Amino acid sequence: MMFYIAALSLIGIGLYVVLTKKNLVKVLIGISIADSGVNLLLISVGYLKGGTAPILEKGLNKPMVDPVPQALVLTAIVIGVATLALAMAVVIDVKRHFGTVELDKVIKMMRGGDGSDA
Amino acid sequence: MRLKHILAWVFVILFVGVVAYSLQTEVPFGHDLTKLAKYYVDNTAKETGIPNFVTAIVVSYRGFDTLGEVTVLLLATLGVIGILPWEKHEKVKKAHPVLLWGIRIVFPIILLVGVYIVIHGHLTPGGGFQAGAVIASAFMLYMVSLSTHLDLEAFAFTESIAGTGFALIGVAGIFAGGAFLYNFLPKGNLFDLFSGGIIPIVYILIGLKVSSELTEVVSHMMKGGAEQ
Amino acid sequence: MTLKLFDPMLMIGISLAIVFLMPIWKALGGKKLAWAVSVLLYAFNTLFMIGVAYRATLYPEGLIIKIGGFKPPFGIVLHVTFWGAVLSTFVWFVAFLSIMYASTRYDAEPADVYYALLTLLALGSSGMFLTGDIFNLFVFTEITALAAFGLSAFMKKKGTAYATIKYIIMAEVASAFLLVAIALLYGKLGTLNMLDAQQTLKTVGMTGAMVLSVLFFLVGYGVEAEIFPLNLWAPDVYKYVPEEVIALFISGSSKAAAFAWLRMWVMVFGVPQKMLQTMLWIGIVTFAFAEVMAYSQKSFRRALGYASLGQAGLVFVAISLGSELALKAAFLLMINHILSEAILFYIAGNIGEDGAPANVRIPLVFGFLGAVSMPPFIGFWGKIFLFMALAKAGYWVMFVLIALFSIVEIAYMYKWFISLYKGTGKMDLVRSFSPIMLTLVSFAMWFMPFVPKIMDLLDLAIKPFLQKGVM
Repeated sequence: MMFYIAALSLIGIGLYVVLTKKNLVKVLIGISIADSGVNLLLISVGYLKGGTAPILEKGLNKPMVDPVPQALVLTAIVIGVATLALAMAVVIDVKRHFGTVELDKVIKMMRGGDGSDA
Repeated sequence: MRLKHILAWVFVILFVGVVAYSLQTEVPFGHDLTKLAKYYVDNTAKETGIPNFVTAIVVSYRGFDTLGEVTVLLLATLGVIGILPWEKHEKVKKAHPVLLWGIRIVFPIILLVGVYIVIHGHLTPGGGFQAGAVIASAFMLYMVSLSTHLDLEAFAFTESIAGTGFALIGVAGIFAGGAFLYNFLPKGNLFDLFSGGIIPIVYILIGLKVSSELTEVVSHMMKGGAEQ
Repeated sequence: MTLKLFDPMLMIGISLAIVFLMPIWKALGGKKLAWAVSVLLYAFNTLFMIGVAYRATLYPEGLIIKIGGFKPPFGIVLHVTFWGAVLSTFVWFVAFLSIMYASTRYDAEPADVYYALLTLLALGSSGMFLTGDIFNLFVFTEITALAAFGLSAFMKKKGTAYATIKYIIMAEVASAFLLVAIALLYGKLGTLNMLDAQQTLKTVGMTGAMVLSVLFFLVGYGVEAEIFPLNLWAPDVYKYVPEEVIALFISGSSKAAAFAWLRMWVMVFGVPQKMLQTMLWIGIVTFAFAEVMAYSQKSFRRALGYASLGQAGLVFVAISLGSELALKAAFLLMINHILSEAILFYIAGNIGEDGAPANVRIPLVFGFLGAVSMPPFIGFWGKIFLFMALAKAGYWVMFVLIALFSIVEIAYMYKWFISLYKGTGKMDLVRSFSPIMLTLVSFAMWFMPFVPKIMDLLDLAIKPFLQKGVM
């Protein structure tokens, strides 16, 4: 139970950051926190009471935890890293064009500069 | 402004509460193994011939996901290369002597650890992704401390050969056993270094690909991110 | 026996190998070779997917392709349905047209990366159309999304950077929700295979966790399927990003996400009646919001972007209704949307001061007719089916609302048509190839309902998604 709450709280904190912060780098940090929360949640869904790592060893005969979520999380982590890298590149691009990474200022500049549409 | 924060908190607390409650009531923490998990725990060693079940799932049962995963990493590299334009590298302050000398000692050790992890990916915890990250961190340290760039062409070629190898091993499975990524090599003995058929080969390819991709991403960010 | 060769995995494997080799192509023959390889690949894949679609007609419940040779719930499978195969064919076809169109574009640098991203976007969406595994669907969703981010920011302009960062933030939050949904589903059902999940769910029933899972799947796919209010990124992307990429977004990532929603909502969860009303209203609001916004736009690209959101809303309504007629409507509307919006976007990139180029007048007419679902376009049948489905289920309020906002759509489309038609400019010959090809295809499509066998094909397309006991 505690693990679920902890993992979900991480997701919640990430969401809160995304919802309230204007700084794009902070938003990305929020997304990355939420990602870690999701990964922890997946892992805890696969937990078995008293289980050990799902790797066979000679002479060790204990129940094992669910290996599936661990494999899924491996994939999810890599995907998260990849997205973060790409998003960072776009933020650098934003900074190059607008000179700022504050989303509200960027939006204001877009509306003011282009003007053609709201 | 205040209202927005309060609303965000309410939303977050509701989210955490509802999901935690329904998870705990329906999927209690530490519940019994699911149907899928039971099958894997019972049959993996027999079917794939390797003791690390996570590796077995990542590379064999769900190998297609992993192929997609390497593709995602490739996409990150492509995206970073595409979005960040090439720029002349600015002169950077020289690194501290401790770092400069330390890297010479640490660099081969990190590489060695990475290679060990990838080669034993099917026996012990670890594997291509972890090793790829470790190896990439060695190169990253190298780039940061010597403030030079590595020959990215070489990394691009390594990555492309490794990726193509993975995809072609998959295609070869169609012709050898009727299914993509079919394990067509002899499985060998459990716990042996040379066992598991295509699994270690695929994992080594993944390790090569991941390490070169991550190095490329970091190197491009260092280059492209430099302020004009 | 020869049919066995049409294994979609072969297509995916070869395409991936060719994309991975991109640096080598570039080193061997520069970006010309990279371009040529991509064009050949897309043409080959289009033809190959036609073969796969034909093969899929022989399997009414969908063709199951095991990967790695493991028994279904334990290994990943592809679940190749006629519907998915047809849409996947269209993706590769549009990708082919887009890369032909992009051959006269010199500002997309580095070009080999651009082609690789185009390939991966098409590949990711066709993977989403074909896969039969929930987590694999997520992986392909991410491939599609990352390719879309890369392409959308590729031009490195002010507008693209701004549009893309909004898109990335929304899509990434959505993907976190998607993973939570998968965690709930896996924890409860203990399987990741769609058909297996469908069977298991029948014994478990729609409990609270499953309802949450549906909602999170909605958030997860809603961003790319352009459901209100998750579609706020789309108009900006549609305005600033090059038109050949938008054509691919429309046929690829947006349709694939709608198809993923179809898989989850109709196939796995079996159209939970408790949530049906809500979903329908979400779709209606999407449609209404988009049409009203489109009406007040001063730029054609933006109006088209909103029109496209409106179409996505209609498809969402049709899928969420989930009855036999509604699914047929969704199938036809999806194809109609791909064809007509792609034509219009290709032309929209070449509009001068005085209007659309003169040499693409006929495609322009076709595009507009298709966009408002008028004959001669198969969207006409789609809309008729949708109205029939709504009437049959007794949702008269929604019937009236959709009819009403369809009239709004016709009004502004007519306005734009009048102002664009009289143009005297000329479109470059290579570029006009794409809209003209699409026009030919859509013209051929119009005759399809007159071919007697075609209604059987429609039945076949929706067969794998119908569950016994749902309406």
